[in-house]
Amino acid sequence: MNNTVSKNQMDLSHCDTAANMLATLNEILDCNDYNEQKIKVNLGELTLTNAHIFSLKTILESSNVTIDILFTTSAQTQLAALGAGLVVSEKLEEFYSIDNKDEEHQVDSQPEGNDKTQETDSLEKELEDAIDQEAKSKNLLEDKIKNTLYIKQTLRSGQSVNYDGNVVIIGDCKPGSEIIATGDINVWGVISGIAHAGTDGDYNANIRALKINAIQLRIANLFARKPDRSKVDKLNKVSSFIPEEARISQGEIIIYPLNG
Amino acid sequence: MTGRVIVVTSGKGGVGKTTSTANIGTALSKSGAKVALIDTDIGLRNLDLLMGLENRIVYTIVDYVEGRCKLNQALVKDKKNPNLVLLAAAQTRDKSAVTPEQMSEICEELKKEFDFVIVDSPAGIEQGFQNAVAGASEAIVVTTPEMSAVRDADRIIGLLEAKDEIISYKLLLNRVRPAMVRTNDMMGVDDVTDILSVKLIGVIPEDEGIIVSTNKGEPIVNNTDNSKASIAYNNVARRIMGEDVPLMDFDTQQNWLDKIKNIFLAPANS
Amino acid sequence: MKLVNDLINEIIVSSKRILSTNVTATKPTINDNSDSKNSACNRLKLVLMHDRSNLSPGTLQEMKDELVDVIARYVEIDRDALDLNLESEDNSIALIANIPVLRAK
Repeated sequence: MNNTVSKNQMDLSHCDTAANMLATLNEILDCNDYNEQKIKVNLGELTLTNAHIFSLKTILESSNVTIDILFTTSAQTQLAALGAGLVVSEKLEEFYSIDNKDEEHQVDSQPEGNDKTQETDSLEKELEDAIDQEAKSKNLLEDKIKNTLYIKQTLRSGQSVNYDGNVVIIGDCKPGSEIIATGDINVWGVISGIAHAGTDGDYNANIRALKINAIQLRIANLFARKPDRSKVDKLNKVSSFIPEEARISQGEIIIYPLNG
Repeated sequence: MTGRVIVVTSGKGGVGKTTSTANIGTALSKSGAKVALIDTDIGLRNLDLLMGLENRIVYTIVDYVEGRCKLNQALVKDKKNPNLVLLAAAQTRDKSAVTPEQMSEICEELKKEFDFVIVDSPAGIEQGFQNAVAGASEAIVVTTPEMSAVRDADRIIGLLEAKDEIISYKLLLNRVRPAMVRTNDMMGVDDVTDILSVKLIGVIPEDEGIIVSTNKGEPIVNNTDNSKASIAYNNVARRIMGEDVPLMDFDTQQNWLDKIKNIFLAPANS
Repeated sequence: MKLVNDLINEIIVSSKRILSTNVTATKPTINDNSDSKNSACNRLKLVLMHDRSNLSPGTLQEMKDELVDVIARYVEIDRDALDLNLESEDNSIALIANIPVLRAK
């Protein structure tokens, strides 16, 4: 069985040392054609230093491959990867869930015949494993119920709320203010500052407010900014708002109106 | 390459440090120089607004100092000019988040890559000011022709003189109203340079266009209409680069016509 | 009495040295309200004189006290009425002391 399953992914999570990882990497690059691709790399719980990450990046770049997202559960590796300017996630299940889709696609796209039966079997097995793992991690998530911070005050410029959990604010968040939460952010008012939800990598976190006019929104490691010359009407308190929710959809932060 | 680190400071608030930083930096970068602007007003940042980059700031100088990002990740590229970057201050912290040592380390780092590093100093003479001047070897002292601003500028000049690292400092006289100077209701260029006995790097006339440009988040030197303030800031940039540019004449149209006459008359006389 | 004069002179000379400021007022002060620029220039020069000298009100008071102690050794003076200030007069800055002498000792 190959180390990789689909074309835009690379699973190195089974490597136990950095040297082993780099050797495997070379092997994979030799056997596969990744030419000019953005790939998702899974490093599992492997601990890597800045130098290792740099080597990984350079080796991939020399084969015209760039890293789309790096999955790792090791804090040190995350730090090193962030330092190298990479997008990092610790949600390995995301890697495997993308895996599923791609596998299905691969299976579909291959017509019957040839000698693919064995591989299809192993793929199916892997698919089951992946589903198991996803279910497991979902349970884990549910086990970890997040606390909620309730603030009855308008946040002004320079004020910052940083909380491990969800944040509820009854009031506005003025330009220059900042809300950072590992969970969801709910504002009963207008967000005009910066809001960062799901800071520990939770792609399912979202930001809700009566009006989202934020200069920047961040969810997990994605961020979106206000357009430069947005012709947003001057906000008028008396006009009625349609509440809005920002969440991640297809790798981008999108603001949806919440009108029934 | 070793760039020049220039701190823009004033002592008094509201005299136009940030506006001057934005415009001088933009003017320098338009002439092809690589320019980095640093906002050191942690907790009261505004340079990002004047540059129109407020929505692009992900990492600030504090994030860099505290190891959350690399220096080049914290540099926000200008919308128009790829030669120009901004290192923004954090809004949710205070001046003590950065030390003078860290500041000079940042300037040293940026000097390697940029021709000019322009540091926007906060008002006051406390730690924010000490941070801003820490990495600089040149200073531009901004003042307006008002007693309070000139007095504070004098204090700042005294502090700059005491710093060995500052090898030169020049005065930028901002918000001059030529009409009031003519009626002796405002100190003129000579009065201020006389009192402070400092060399001048430029004189900027009061210009309503500055307010408009701040509203738009676009430094006035980017305007094509060549307002007086825009020309004056471009002249300052040229003087910084060593060009010998005479001071602008802010006088009225009558004098302007006279000048044209003089141009026509000059060859005949000589 | 001559000794007192010498002392005062000495103090004035030394304080002038402290005030190493370029002392040239543009015009003799004309009390003309319409010409606010000149009044600003003159006031500013005086203020900067104080600022640059680092002569804080405290130091001035200290100087005053020492001066009075010396003079009081020779003549009896009215300590409360004593007045000592930096003033700008006739194109120069002077340390003006007004010391009412009650009687010689």
